[in-house]
Amino acid sequence: MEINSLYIIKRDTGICMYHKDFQEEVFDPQLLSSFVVAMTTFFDEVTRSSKPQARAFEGADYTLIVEFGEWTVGAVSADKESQRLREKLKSVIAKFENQFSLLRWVDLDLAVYTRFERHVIEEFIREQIESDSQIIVKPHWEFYTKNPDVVSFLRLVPQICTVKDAADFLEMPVEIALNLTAEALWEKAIIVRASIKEDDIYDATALTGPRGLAKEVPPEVTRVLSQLDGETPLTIAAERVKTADLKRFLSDIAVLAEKHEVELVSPAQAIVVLFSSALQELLDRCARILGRRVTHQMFFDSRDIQAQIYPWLAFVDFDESLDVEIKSSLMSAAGKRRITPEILNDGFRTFLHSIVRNIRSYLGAKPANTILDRTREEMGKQFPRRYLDIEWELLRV
Amino acid sequence: MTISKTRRALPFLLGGILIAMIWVVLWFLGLDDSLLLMAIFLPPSAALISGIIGVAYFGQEGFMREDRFHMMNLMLALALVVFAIAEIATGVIGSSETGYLAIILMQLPGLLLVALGVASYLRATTEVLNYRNYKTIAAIICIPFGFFAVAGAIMAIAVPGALTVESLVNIVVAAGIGSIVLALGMLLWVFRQGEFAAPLGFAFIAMLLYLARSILWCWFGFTPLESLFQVLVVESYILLGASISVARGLQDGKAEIVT
Repeated sequence: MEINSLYIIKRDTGICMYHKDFQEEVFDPQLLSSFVVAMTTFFDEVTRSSKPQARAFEGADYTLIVEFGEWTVGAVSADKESQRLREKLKSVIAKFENQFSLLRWVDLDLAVYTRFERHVIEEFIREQIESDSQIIVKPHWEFYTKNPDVVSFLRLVPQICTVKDAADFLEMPVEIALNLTAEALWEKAIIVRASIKEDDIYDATALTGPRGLAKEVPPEVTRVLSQLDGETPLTIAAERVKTADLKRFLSDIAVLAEKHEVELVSPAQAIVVLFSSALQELLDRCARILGRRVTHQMFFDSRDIQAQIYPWLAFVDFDESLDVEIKSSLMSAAGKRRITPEILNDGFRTFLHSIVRNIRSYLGAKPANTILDRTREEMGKQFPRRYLDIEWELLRV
Repeated sequence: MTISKTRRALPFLLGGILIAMIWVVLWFLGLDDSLLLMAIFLPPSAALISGIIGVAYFGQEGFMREDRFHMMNLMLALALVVFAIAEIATGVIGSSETGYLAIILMQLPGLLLVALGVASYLRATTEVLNYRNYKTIAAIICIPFGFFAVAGAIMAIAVPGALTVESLVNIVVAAGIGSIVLALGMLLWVFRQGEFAAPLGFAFIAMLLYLARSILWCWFGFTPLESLFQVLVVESYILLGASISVARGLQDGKAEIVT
């Protein structure tokens, strides 16, 4: 979850009227609310502004996003700032001010926590759960929740399953299962992970796995650990170990991920893998028509020109055997999030477009676009979900 | 296309124009002996020079089976060398009527090399560009063979006794050349907007001239050492040489970045 905590603070007094820690408690709510009000007042005084000026406070590994209502201040502690999160915070503040308008004038016990819970679940919890999201029931979950609906739900579902599987298993509509999952997550009785997709890319953190793992996952999945190199999508890895049941394979990967034997690569690294695969497919097709020398020449001419704008493209290489090679420096920078997915996307897209333009100069527009279309089709097979992250229409010539 | 890429073809094109002009001048002046000398010496020389230059360009890396464009050009270069040998044989036995069949048969290995090179490149292209492979290839084979079979049948009916073994073989060879011309024509049409149109265009015209020679031989009673007949062949070999040279120029030249 990108959001850690939510605070709604009364502007006049600096009292925290509502707070929720979605993960572990980070700040004392009253301490934080005093800090937020003091800092926002300070900035307003310094800038002599009638409108509140402060927008966010940044820590080492968190960002405190601040939004102002008419008489409240909302703060969210999150991994990073985003416009979407800001909009949600604004919406929550508006709902709070509307529902508890009396609190502006008097301090009363209006059972804020229990009555406002529904809105917070709706804004911050429910939207992150999809029918194919993975539910991981925590051990001893009974200690976390007393909600009878949640208890009866969790008693019956398997320890790891998707929301849809749970709905099918309990023969209930998916919508109800989604709501129950949201409530269970609110109670912290479960962990919800985005479902593992066939074109996700995982990196093995251990090659053999701890003892006891063999009981939970079949041997071929333990074998696949060597294939999860941070560059291979799960579909290809499944093919390499000749897995018959892909769905089962994906749920086994989920178990491995839960045990921290494998981890999803960073979004930037996933972009590098996606584009390098597209580049390889495109160049393979070119080489068959244009020949090796022309393809080689075309790659380096395009790269050298684009590297003036995106210097990191110099780390994308093309060897004699016509294999696209991403130097470890670039992969490492992407893995450590030193380069953003947006920059990588822009650079690779421009690079690909430059190559397609070169193909057009050799073969004409129609064959160039046909080669591009066939590359797109092949990428659709390898990355069924993520191949559309490449803006194919912009690459056409 | 940049000048540097076409520059290699210029000597061939200038040579071809010069030879055509000399042939016209000699023909107007009625210098038959000079025309005969040209007909004997020029075809093998043109084929050999074009072939050796082509082999020098594309033979260095040997047969690269996965690089079909390279392979096609190497095949064309080797075919030119084989044609040179066949043309020498034409010069030696061309004056005797009984040697005509031998001349046709001697050209077959060269034509086979051309056919293999063009077919492999056509296949790679149709596979990559997702054209209907089998229908395309079937059309390329069937149309010329059907056309020349009908033409042969008409000839046999119109002129009884004209359908000899020699003309039958000639019809089959013409149909084969027709298939090569169709294949090159298709490639030229597909790549008509790009730089690859240049080498393919030269090869297409070259093989068209070669086909014209076969048709002249088959249906118009030309004999192998007639000067018009041979000048077509010389131009054909020169254009094949130009095609190979432009192909090499494309491989060596810098890719154009269109911004």
